[in-house]
Amino acid sequence: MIFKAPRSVRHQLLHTLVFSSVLALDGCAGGAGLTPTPQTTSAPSEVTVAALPSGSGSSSGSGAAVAEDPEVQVASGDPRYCERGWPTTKAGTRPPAYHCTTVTLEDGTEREECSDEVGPCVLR
Amino acid sequence: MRAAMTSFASAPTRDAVRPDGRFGGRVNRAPLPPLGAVELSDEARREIASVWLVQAATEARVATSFAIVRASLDELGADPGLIRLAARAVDDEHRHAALCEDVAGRYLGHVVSPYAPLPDQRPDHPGASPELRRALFVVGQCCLNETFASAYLDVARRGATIPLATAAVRALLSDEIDHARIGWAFVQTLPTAVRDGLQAWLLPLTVCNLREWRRIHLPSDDRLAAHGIPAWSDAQAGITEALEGVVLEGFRHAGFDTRALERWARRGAPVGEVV
Repeated sequence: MIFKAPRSVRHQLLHTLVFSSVLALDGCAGGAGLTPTPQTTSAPSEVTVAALPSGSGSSSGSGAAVAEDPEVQVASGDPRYCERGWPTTKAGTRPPAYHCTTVTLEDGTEREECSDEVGPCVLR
Repeated sequence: MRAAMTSFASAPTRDAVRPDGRFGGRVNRAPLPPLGAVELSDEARREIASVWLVQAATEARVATSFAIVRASLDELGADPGLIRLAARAVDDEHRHAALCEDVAGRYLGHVVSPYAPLPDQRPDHPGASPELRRALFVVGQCCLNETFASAYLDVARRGATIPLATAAVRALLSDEIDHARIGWAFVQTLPTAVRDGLQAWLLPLTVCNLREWRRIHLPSDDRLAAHGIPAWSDAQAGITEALEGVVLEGFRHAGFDTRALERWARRGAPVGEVV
């Protein structure tokens, strides 16, 4: 939906989060080895394109699309697609995978501990 | 005392808030408004309180995430302003836990028991160098997780009509914006070597973090939206919109090649299902 929208109506969070983020910087001179990157919305440099993994960054085509499919990547054994991400700050209602158990501490007191961990990564 | 007399959060959760934090030890800039005269069944009150109490647990867990981000930024020699923000974010998440408990308690009419803690969780990023892994921690937690959190809260804010819920969601959103900015400012200061390494991780990093947000469970309708709990479809629509309009645009703005991400997003951003 956003791809078809004119730039003027794109997400307001873009301005709040991204464009104004430089206000968080004290300045880059004190950063060891970190220097500001020229901000651009133009096409990427040859360097960044060359750094892409096989199948990425090429022009549109069915071959590239298949290689970028996360399910295909997982099936091929690429562990980068099989990780848990960072835990969310919002849980919603208690999900089915969210389970709690009562554990007894060394001092004899009981404490409820909960987990929303899931099993091994298998995409289906 | 630290505003204890006006809070329905548990004492242990309130005590985790640092006195030198964003609001000098207070949980929020101003006390939350009372729930007021809202007609709700006991069952509805318990359900709403349960969601806010679970959220207290998830907010508190992210304090650990930001401790890792803060250490990563330090080890990378990042801009001091970002390190300060990340350090403050650790306390912010403890404040959020207290804020969420406070909301839960107001629906129940009494001070709540402390949230049930969740185990820490963080990605490993197999194969990444130590330096790249640190950068991935910052980008994953701040650019992705906190941007999706901001999108979620933006949807919740638009649906909330109860003043208590509106005030709580606004307070959370205000901080999450700061947390996302850490990442977006960081990617604009990357050295070339780290940037090139990060480029190859953009798609898997986004897939794995989006998958976590697709897994959250929310009502199938908007019956709790007035209380800051959006319908699943509305939350996911907002997150998808942020993926396309903020994450992709943000990476592009920082000079990354986003064409692979765009193609994936056009196909509906599939993340599969982890079982």
